[in-house]
Amino acid sequence: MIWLVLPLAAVGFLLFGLSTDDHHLRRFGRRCAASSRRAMRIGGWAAIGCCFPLAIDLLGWIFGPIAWAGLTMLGAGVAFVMLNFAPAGLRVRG
Amino acid sequence: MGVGFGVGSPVSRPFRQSQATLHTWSGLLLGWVLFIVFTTGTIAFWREALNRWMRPELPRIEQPMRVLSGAQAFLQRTVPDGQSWYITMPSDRMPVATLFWIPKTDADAPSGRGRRRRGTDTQALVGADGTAVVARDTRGGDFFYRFHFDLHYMPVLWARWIVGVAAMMMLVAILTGIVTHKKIFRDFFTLRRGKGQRSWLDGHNATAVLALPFHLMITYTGLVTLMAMLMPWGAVANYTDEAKISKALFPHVEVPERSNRPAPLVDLVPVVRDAERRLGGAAAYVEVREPGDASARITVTRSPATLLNTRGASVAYDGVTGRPIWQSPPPDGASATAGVMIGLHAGRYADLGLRWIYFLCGVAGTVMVASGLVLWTVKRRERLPDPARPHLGFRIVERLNLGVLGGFPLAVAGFFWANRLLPTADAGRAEREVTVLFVVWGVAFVAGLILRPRWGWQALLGGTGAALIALALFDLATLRPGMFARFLGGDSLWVGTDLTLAVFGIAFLLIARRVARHRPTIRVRTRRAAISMDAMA
Repeated sequence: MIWLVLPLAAVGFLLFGLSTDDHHLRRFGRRCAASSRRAMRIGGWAAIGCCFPLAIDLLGWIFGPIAWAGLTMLGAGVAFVMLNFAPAGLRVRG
Repeated sequence: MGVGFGVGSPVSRPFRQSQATLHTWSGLLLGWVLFIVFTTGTIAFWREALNRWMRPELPRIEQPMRVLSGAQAFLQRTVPDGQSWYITMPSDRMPVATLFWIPKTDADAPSGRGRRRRGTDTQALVGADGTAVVARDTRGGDFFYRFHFDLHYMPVLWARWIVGVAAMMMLVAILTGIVTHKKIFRDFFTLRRGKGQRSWLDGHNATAVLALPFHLMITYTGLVTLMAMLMPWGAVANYTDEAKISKALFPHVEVPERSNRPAPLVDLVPVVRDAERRLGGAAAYVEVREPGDASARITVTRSPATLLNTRGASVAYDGVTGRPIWQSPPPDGASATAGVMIGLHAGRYADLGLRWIYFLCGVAGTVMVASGLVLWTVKRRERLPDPARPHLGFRIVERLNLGVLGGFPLAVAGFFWANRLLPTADAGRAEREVTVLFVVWGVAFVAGLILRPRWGWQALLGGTGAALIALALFDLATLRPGMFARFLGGDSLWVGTDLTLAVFGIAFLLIARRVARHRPTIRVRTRRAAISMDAMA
């Protein structure tokens, strides 16, 4: 169950990554509008923010923080690999 | 773009420049030691797994208590009147229970100290069926664990000082790296590929920043494991008697003098079961003092496998009646802090998933150190007055990089191959495996000195990749029962380890191919680019 933290962290970091100009341009084909950047950052913080209470709830105060730190790092790593190594043709239309 | 100085930066320019210089040199000077320490430490997260993987003839232990009772029977036959017995409790992570004893006649010898003196005549392995087993002699994953802080072929104390100083420089390099890397959040997801120095810098930053909490934690707690040696003054100021420190840190039961009245030792199995109930977790070690005597004492220590604090609690029993007589007091704040930090460092509590995270973070750290070392040469190569004849310092760093970053992984692959190929019946085989590691490393180092760097990298990286993939194929062909049969039987260790080796092999081959295809471009550097590069100097 504790692994639920991983996709949550990955989604949070993906939103952060996509709110940067470089990655936004690569995946959406245009620069990031100020409003959507704000929405993505809020979404990112919300997802990252949920990770800690979720980890504490699932594993308690001794192993919860450790699992949280580990899975958040792993989530950031997953987002990093997806942003940089996903095929260049992979784009979101809209 | 990238790591340049921003306009209106809150941190003053000379300060950042000084931190950048400190980062470069603290990272470089002992960087090769750090690479070895990171590599072996990362592998050592799989210490127990490798202990099993390197003894493929032993079945997994399914019933620890059966092994324990077999161990007691063996010890009672072999050393009925020994001074002490030490039994490492078996678990399903281990292939065998390790027994170690101090015979009565050898009472004056220091107990448990000096693994080199520990002869085969005072230790034995007990396998899954409770009988003494003869497995191939190997140090297994323990080798990497020891090498991580004791190195090899040198006094342990020297090695720990070298590793300790390297760890301090690592901490300096991490902290100065954070200061130097100004756009740490803006560049968080940046990886510009195929751009030479830029890519090396991005890769170095990514492996450093993504696992930054791990790097800080592992370096700091690593220093904590050596703190009594690096900073003895706190203990010196507060304790005049060494025995008192030992008692405060590692509380243990007092053992009465040997009475020389024979009395049979109680059955260890119910004692250990009772201890596990009292301690609230599996037992790790069982120590029996004066077995067969009326004064016998049994101490059972809790396993750190389910505890964050590595200094597990223990409980002691009267060895004749089997009654509990002593329990270790709850640890005080300082001891618990140290124990928890060492626990965080070693990750003994980690289950398989968390262990993978530890391992991946360790790999990131290893890549961070390696890419930092390579970056030193990449950065300076373009600025050499005559690239065909680099100065001596450049050549030393370049060759050391080749010999250590390229050579050591090949040596590890050689160690694994030695484990599979050396005749299993040989005595002194364990040490010979280690010798193979150093011989391969030595050969790789010399090859790195002779070959042109470009060919050297291809040969060493490609060789490592091929050796690792071939190892997985060798296991596939020779393991009986096969790795998939073991997997279906519920033991995923073999498939998991060999697949991991194959994946690393493929990665090494890809890097080797990348080196082969690399065509260095001569670029005209603009003044602005030069300044921004200097930021990471």
